Amino acid sequence: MLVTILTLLLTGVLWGGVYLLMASGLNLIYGVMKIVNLAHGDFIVVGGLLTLTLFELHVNPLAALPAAALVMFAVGALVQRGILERLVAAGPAGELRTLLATFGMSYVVSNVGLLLWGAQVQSVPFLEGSVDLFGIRLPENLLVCSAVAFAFAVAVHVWLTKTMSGKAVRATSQSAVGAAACGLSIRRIRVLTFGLGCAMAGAAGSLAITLIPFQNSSGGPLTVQAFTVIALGGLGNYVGAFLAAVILGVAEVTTSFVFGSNAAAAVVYILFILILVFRPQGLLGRSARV
Amino acid sequence: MKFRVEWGVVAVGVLFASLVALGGNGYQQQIVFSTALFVVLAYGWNVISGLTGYLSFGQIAFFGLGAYVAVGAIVVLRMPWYAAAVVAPLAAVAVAIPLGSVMLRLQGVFFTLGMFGLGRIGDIVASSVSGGAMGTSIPVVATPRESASVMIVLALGAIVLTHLLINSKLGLRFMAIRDDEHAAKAAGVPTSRIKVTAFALSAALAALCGVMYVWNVGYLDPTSAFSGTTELQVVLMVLVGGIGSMWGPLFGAVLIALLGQVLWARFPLEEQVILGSITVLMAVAMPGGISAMLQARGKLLRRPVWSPPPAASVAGAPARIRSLGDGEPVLVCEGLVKRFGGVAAVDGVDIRIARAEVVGIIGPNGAGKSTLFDLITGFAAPSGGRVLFSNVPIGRQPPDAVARRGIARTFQTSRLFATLSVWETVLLAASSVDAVRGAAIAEARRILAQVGLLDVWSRLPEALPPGKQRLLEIARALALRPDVLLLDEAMAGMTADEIAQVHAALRYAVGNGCAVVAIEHVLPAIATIADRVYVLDFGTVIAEGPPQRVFRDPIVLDAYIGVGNSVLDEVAAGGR
Repeated sequence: MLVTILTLLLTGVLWGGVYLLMASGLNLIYGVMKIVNLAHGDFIVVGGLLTLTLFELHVNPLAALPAAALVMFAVGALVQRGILERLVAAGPAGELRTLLATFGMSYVVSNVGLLLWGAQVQSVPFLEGSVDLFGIRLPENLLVCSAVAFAFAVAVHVWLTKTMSGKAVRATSQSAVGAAACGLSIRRIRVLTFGLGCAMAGAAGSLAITLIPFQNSSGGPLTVQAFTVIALGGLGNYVGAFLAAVILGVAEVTTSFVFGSNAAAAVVYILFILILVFRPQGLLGRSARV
Repeated sequence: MKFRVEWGVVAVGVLFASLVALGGNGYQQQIVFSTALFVVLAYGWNVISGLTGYLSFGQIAFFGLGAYVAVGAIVVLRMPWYAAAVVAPLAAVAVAIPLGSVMLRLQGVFFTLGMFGLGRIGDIVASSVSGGAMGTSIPVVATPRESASVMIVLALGAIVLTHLLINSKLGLRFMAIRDDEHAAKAAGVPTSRIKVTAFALSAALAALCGVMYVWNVGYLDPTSAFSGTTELQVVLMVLVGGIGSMWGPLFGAVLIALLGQVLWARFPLEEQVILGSITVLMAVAMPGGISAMLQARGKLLRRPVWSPPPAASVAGAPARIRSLGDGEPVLVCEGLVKRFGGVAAVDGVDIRIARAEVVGIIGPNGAGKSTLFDLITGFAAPSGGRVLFSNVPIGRQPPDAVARRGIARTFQTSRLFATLSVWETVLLAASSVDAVRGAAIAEARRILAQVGLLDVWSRLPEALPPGKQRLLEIARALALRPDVLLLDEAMAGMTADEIAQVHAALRYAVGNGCAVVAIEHVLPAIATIADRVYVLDFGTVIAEGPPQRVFRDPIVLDAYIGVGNSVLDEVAAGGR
């Protein structure tokens, strides 16, 4: 019994790492630009499918991760430059138009995925053994993916808080006008941020496809899942997102163990709606900062 | 009624579609059916996302709900299809009312995301509850001729319904919420109830389409009931045609449904990439769609609701008469406190306002004047103390209820409705307190004439000079026939003529027993008409009394040092 509970808890925490990386990109973009990118989940899926293609060319998923992240960075930077940047000046009406644009984009991305990879459910086999820790059995791939995901998310957090360029991004998130007055090119920062957010989605996809099977249309639920994490943690709040990712991971793994996987999918949505309605400011109060 | 080209086009379209439905082949009839289905879906989506401004990417859930209720009604309860077509929309309304009451508390992005998630829950629930991903067959199927014919009638119904809605008080309230929900509340619109109404109406139309879909194909599976493609197409249709417009959904539905047919036949795999790309392109380059293009050329402009205002002046409705004794206060604030974090913006304010009194509230920037108004009108909840109106505590009523009860306000920075004309802005408030159409129209006309805005009744706020915009906000507040009128720097930026007009309108209201409380920075604008003045600093009342005395008070002068003593001396010397 104790072993079962510990296994569920640990597995949940490990999944939390993957969820954190999935959500961090969305969080970063929201924090800086107040944009909710409805295509985020689709970028995750494309990152995963890119890894699949590289895997078929005998590239190890961990080696494929930087490649997927780099490609998605380029895609994201182009999207910001070519599309979303044009909506920045639109003011309050811009929010609605941005949602419409990213809503359309999510269909474009997932169906480009359909054209390139087909509609079948795919996964990448990677480290299929498991590790036995005092009777607690944990899948090897989950351990590795979780460690990489945590490392990636923490690295971005350190970059944001400790480096000059990271501080420039945070300054822009707190006051775009103030940042511009300090001589920062906020246009370039927005392109960098959106690119980086998408790169994190790509990296998350690389890891996730070794854990859960994907198909081109898996993006919508992933967007909701990522949004649940950042809503639970408080939009733009990094520490909150970390806690939220772990909570979501444990909740999902436990529900899946007790009630089956369909119920686990529903738990995400139920949490999602409950949070939106009853605690829109997130777990850690109202401060919304990157 | 004058013949209008657009209705002629609709008549020709309906005639043509009917001929195809009755005499065409099965393929053509299916095209007519799906086009008409999309017309209804597009108009349904437009009610909540376009007219009311709550962008929903989850309305497809109600289409799926309607479809599944229809399957249940037809297969299990052995109902005929037309009974299912009544039951399913009612079921959707029954779901939409509680759901909407919760979801519509969310603003902007949050509502959109919430609905986006809900649309996907529907799929999961349907897959696990009913026949699973495999789908269900139903025994009653329409012939293509029947389903196409009925669908044409429903599409025409959706067009007429939207036309009636856009020219009604309810439609006016939808559009006010879309333009500025805060201002709508201040105009007495019960926004929560009205939003849920829009949501339920939109849900009912989507559910009706679900029934028709099932009746037409005789088969239902979760993927087509909650189809992302359908959702995308509906959104795109309204976007292409013009979101929130009368004719946009029709243009878009016909255009995109036909385009969809071509794409589906020629590029089945690329269809969604193409439709998605058009959505992105429209959102970036042409957010107003075809309607905005035509309107920029002066075509298909929306006629203001219940317009034009009647030519002759009708006797205005009498002001409310309350049984208050002489000197009995109409508005009392007792120890009112508002804290933001550690800062007390309002810190124990006591104020008494008598009937028909004109009171000024002055104080340096950040003294807590506007916050005080927010507390009185229910836009902010006090951290302590209470507000009494006609000797009754207001408690925690929503701002719109406070406005209807008789405390009207203006905002420090104008909050007008971008797409509502001068006439509609005032009518909106007048109709919040006057249920009778004729009385509301008469009152709105009287007020417009009184403040000198009658000749610009058909203009939009952006076409008015700043002073007239402020005048319009005062007119909107007066149209609530308030017992207390709170003016927040309402006369800033006005010309002398405009100020004189405001004074005349205020005198009329005061003559009817209305108390006026005015925050002003332009001291002369208030000193000339105020009976008493309160001076606020750091959230507390530091002085109170007739203007001439207060403006000589050393404490007040001290608070104002830096603003300039000369101004105060000038005021104290007797106005301008």
